[in-house]
Amino acid sequence: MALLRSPLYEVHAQAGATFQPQDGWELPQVFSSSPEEFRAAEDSAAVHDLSHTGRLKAVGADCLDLINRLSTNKVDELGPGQGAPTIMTNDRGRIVDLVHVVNLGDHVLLLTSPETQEAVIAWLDKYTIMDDVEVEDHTQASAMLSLLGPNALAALADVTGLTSEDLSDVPDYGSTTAVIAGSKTQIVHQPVGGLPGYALVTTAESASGVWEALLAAGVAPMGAESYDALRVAHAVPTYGREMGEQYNPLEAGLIGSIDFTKGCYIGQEVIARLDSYQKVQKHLVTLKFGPAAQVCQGAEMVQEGRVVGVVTSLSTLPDGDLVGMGYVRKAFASTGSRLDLQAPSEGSAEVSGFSQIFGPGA
Amino acid sequence: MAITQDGVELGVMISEKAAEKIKYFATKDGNDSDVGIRVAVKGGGCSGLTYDLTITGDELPSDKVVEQHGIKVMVDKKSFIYLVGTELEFSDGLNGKGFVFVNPNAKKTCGCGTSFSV
Repeated sequence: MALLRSPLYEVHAQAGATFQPQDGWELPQVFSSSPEEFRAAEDSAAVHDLSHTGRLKAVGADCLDLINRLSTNKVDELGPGQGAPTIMTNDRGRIVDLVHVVNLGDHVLLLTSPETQEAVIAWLDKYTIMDDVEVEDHTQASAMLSLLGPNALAALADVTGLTSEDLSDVPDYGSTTAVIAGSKTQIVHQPVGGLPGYALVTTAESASGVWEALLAAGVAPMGAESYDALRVAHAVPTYGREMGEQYNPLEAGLIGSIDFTKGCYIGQEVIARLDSYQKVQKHLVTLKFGPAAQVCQGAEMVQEGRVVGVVTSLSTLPDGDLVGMGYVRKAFASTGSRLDLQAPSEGSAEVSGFSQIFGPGA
Repeated sequence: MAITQDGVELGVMISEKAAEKIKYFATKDGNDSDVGIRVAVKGGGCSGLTYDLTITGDELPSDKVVEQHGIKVMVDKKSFIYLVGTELEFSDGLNGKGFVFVNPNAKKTCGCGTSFSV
């Protein structure tokens, strides 16, 4: 199947970006150099084209009520401009997807993982019986940029004309509307781990104007390689590697997106039991590897000949250090725990922390 | 004994005790005595689908409607698919569960009994 392209493909190509296929899309990998792009996001501001992630528009009086019945977080009382991350789980308490839900007044915006929007629509459809809910896929009709870094808010104020106070008032995961380069843009407050961040959603036609305005405001363009390194450094799980139907939200460190008092949703009984009886078997951890380590994606981690974990993501930090994320059995999931890597990988991995993000419970 | 309407087996049957309780709830807030109960299925609950009971006098054109023990029972046609043959009972007493659905279509039911999957 032909790879999909972002509405910004030509703009990225003209800027000299290199491209790689990922998640069914041809994505810009590197603009300048990954270490420079990573540092720009950590120290200043960088923008990454996230047009390949799913965007759904849900309309109807029962949208939030339905999503509330099908996912872990309390979303039924979100007012206009408010949003929340929530996890759609199956009846075994496993992850269908982590979805960022935003109430935009006349409709609800759902930000899904890459390539999961059809599964999310099918999941909502399956459980829509008499509810007033219509869901449309707006992924290819729109574009989405992720603006990250300590100076993201200042850059946004610069390009929108809004004050820093106006933008600071947008609640975590909430949204406001602004005009960038003459185009209406939905600004969604979406931090990446501990890093301040905003998702900017606009039409496919307006995307290049918004992108150029941000670059003109001094924001660095960022490719998929440095974005992934940033994600790993900030312990943010991604669908297909750390999230999916083989994992539950408690293992994936998503407890901050679970409301334990809101009542029933699909999978609630299993998740409540795992939490109450402390039955979580493994945890998503961050890993660091020694300079001599040779690590393959999916490498197994062993202790006394027994497999106790698996490496799910790998990235190189600007200083050359190799870091990763992985699932490790509960008994070995403690900071400082050192685990040998199973051949053909070589060396050892050290558990450096836990993935505990998304929401105030984190 | 299956209750039929126009030769078709009714979606939901209610026990005499459940009917008494429905009458009690229907009239206790000053509603007319001719109100009935809507039995529906919604997405949600621990297992995927959950029962929804509403006391109402509003009948939809597509409803399956039948009177049992002096109570009008309304089931919309989409919920009907999941509810064919279901019996609504009432379990009272100190450890009673209130309204209880006995649904032959449910393959799996959650602990509290209000959610099921087919």
